[in-house]
Amino acid sequence: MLVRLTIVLVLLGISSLSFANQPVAHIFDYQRFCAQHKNRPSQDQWWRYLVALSGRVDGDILVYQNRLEGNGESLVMAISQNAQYYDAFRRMMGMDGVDGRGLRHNLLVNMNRGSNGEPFECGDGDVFDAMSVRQGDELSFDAFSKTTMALEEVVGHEAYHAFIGYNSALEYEFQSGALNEALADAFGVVFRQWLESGRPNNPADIQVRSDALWQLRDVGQPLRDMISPNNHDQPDHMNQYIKLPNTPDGDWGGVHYNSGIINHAFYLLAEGGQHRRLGSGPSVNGIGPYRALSIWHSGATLMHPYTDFRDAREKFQLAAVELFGHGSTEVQSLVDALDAVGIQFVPLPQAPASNSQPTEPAETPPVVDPVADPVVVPPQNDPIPAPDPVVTTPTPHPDPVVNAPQPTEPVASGESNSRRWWLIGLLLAAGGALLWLSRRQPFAEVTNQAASPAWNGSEPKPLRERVNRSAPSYKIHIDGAKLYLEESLMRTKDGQVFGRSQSFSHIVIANTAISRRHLRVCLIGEDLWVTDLNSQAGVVLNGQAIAEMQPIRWQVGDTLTLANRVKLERKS
Amino acid sequence: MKRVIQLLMGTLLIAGALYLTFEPTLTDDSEQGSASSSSGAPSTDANAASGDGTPAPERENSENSTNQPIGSTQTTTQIPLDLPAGGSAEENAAILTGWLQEQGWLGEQDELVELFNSGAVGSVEVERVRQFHNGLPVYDSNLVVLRRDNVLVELDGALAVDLNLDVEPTVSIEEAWETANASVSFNVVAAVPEALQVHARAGETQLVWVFSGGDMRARTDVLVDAHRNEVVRKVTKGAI
Repeated sequence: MLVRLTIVLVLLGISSLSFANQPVAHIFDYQRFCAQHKNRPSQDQWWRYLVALSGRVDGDILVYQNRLEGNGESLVMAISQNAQYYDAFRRMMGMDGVDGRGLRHNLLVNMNRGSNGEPFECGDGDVFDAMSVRQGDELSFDAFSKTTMALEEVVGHEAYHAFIGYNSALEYEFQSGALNEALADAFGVVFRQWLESGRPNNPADIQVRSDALWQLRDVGQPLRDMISPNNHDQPDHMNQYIKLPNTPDGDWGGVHYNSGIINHAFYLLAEGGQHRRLGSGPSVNGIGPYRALSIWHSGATLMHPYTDFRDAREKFQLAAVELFGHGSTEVQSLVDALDAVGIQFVPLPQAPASNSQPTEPAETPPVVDPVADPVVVPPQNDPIPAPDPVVTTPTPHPDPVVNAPQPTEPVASGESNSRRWWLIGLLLAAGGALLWLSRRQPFAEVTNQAASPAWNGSEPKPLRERVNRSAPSYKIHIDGAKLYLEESLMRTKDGQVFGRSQSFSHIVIANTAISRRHLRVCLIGEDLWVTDLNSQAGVVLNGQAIAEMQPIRWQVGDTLTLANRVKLERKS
Repeated sequence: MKRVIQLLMGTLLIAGALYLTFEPTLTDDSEQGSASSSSGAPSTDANAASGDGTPAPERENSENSTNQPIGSTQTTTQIPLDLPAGGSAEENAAILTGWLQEQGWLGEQDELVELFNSGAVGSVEVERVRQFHNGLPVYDSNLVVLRRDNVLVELDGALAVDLNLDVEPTVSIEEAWETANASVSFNVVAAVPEALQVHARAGETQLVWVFSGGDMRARTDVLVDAHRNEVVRKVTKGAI
C-alpha cells in the first residue's frame, strides 16, 4: 500500500511539474464512494456529486476530492493517462487542456458496471464503461473501468468528447451526433498512434505500423474499424447511410453507426488510396495522421451544435485552406477523401482578393417566418472569381442551410435532359413488361424458393409437398410467455432475430443486458437452429455456452438462456 | 426462378426510372468528377443490403432531414462588419447584436453574449456567442462568429427569431422537478443558476426549466415548460 501510494504521489508530482500552468486533475475513486454509501449510492447522490464537482453544491461529498487512497493501480493509470492526453492536446493541437483554457479534467476510476448489467452497482467486472460529460460551463469528467483505461484510443476518444462539449457542443443526435463520435474517434486513434510512436515531440513523426492502429477497441475485441467500418455494422459511404430514430435503441439517430462514414474519410485522408471496400472513386493522396487530424480538429473548431455532414465538409475545407493554402496537396486530398465516401459536394472557399473591402450589408430584410425551414440570406459579397482548381463542376445545393458562394449551373441541361427522359421511358417500358411477364406466377412458389437459407446446402423440397403438409407449430416460451414463431420468416436467410434493438431485431427483448442483435433462429428442414450473433453476454443452451456464430440445433425441451437473464424454452 | 428474376428486374427498372424522374440532374462521374457522387442517391435504394448482408434499415444519401428544422432559424451569412481596433469580445458581441437587430434578425429584447474565443484557424479567429432573450439564455445556443483582420465575416449557427416570451414562470422549479423526475427512470437535478431558459425549435418557443440527469448509458437534459408544466423535450447530451 505504501509503495503504491508513493508511486501515485511521485507520478502526481511529475504530472504537476510537467504542466505547471495546468490544474491537477481531480481524481475520484468510485469504489471508495460506494463504500461510503453502503455499496449502493443512489442516482440522486451521484448526480449531486457531479454538480458538486462544478463547485455549485457544497456538501460532504466534496471530501473525496484529491484523496488518492483506494485502488492504487487504477489511480496510477488514471494520472498517467490524464498527463498523456493533456500532453497530446498541447503537442498536436497547441491546446491547454481539453477546453484550451486549462480546464481541470475530472477523472473517475474504479467505476465498473456490475456483471448483471445494472448501472451504479459496484460490481467487480471490468466492462466497457467510458463516458464524458459536460455540464454547465465547468464540469467535465470521464469514467473508466480499469480495463478501458488501458485502451488509449478510448481514453483519447472520451477526452475529445470533452473538447467538443466545450466548443461546438455538437448535438448528440443524427448527423451532428455521428460527427461528435467520429471526431472523437479520430483523435482517439491518432492519440494511440502517437503513444505507440514513442510520443514524438513532432507529431508529424507518427508512424502507423499496423492496421490495428486504425481500430477502436472494446474490451477483448475491436469496436470500430476506420479501414473497414462494415466489419462492425457501420456504413463506410453515404449510400449506406443508416437512418434510425432518435431513441436509445435507435442509437440516437445512429450516432455510433454513421460515424463510420466520416471515419473512413479520415482514414483515406491520412493513409491515402481508394475507398477500401468499393475499390473505386478518387484515389486519395494520403497526408498522414497528424495533418489529417489538424484538419479534423480545426474543422471541429468551426462547427456549431447542429452541424451535419455537409456543413462539416464545408468546415473541413475552410480549415484545410486556412491551414495549408489554396490548391495545396492537403486540400486536394481532403476533397478526394470526402468525395470517396460520398459526402455531398460543397464549393471550396474562394481565394481572398488582395484589395477586397467589406461592403455595406444588403437592405433586404431577412425572412423571419418562424415555421419556415432555415432561412437563406444571399451573400452580400460577390465571390471573387478566383476558383480553386480542384473541382470545376459543382452540383447545385439542394439544401438551403449554408449560404456559401452559390455554385454555377450544372451542365445537365438540354441534351442531357432529353436523354434522361428517353431513358426513363425505356426503363418504365422494360420494367412494366417484365412485371407483366412475371404476373402469372403463383407468389407462393416464389416465396418458398427465395426463403431457403443461403447456407443450407440441402435441396428445397417440392412445392406441392410443402403446401399439402400441415404446417408444424413452433411454440416457445420467453420467460414463461408463450410465443409462436413464424415458419416462413424462420426460413429466410436472416431467420428470426432476437435482440434489444427495435430496428434490427424481429423479436425485441427490452433488457439492457441483451445485445442489439443477440440470437438468430432459423428453420432448416424441420429443425430449428440457433446462432449466437456475437452477443456481448452470450447464449447458454441447457447450461452449456454456445460458440458465437456457430448454428446449433434447438430441440423441443431445450432451454436457451440469453445473457443469464432471459430464458427461451422450445415447447413444440 | 425465371419469374422471380423477371419480377426483380422489372421492379429495379421501374425504380431506376423513378429515381431518374426525381433526380434533379443526370450526373456522370466522368463529366463532373466524383464530387457529384453524393448529390443524391435513389430513395429506392432504401432496402439495399449492407456489406455484411445484414438487412439494412432505411437509408439516405443526402442531408439528414430529421436533423432539421433547428431552432427557429439556422443561417450562415456573410456579415461583414468592421470592428473598432482593440475592442473587447463583449464590445464585438454588442456590435454584432446591434447589426442583427438592424437587420430584423434579433428583437430589442435579444442580445448575443460572447461565450469564449475558440482560437484561430489560420487567419480566421473563431469566437462563440450565445443568444439571450430578456436576460435568459436560449437553450443550446452556440453560434460561431468568424473574424478576419478585425472584420466580422461570418455568423454560423441557429438563431432563434421572433421571440416574444413571458419570462416570468408560472410553474415553480419544484413543481417542474416533479414533472421532470416522473418522466424519466433516473433522478434529475437542475443546473442552477441557469435552470430557467428559452427553448426554440421548429418555430415553437417555450420558457423552460432545464434539468439534467442520466444513467450509465446516457446523460439527458429534461426540459419542462415553465408555464404548462409539461415535458417539452428530452435531449441526450452524451452516451457511452
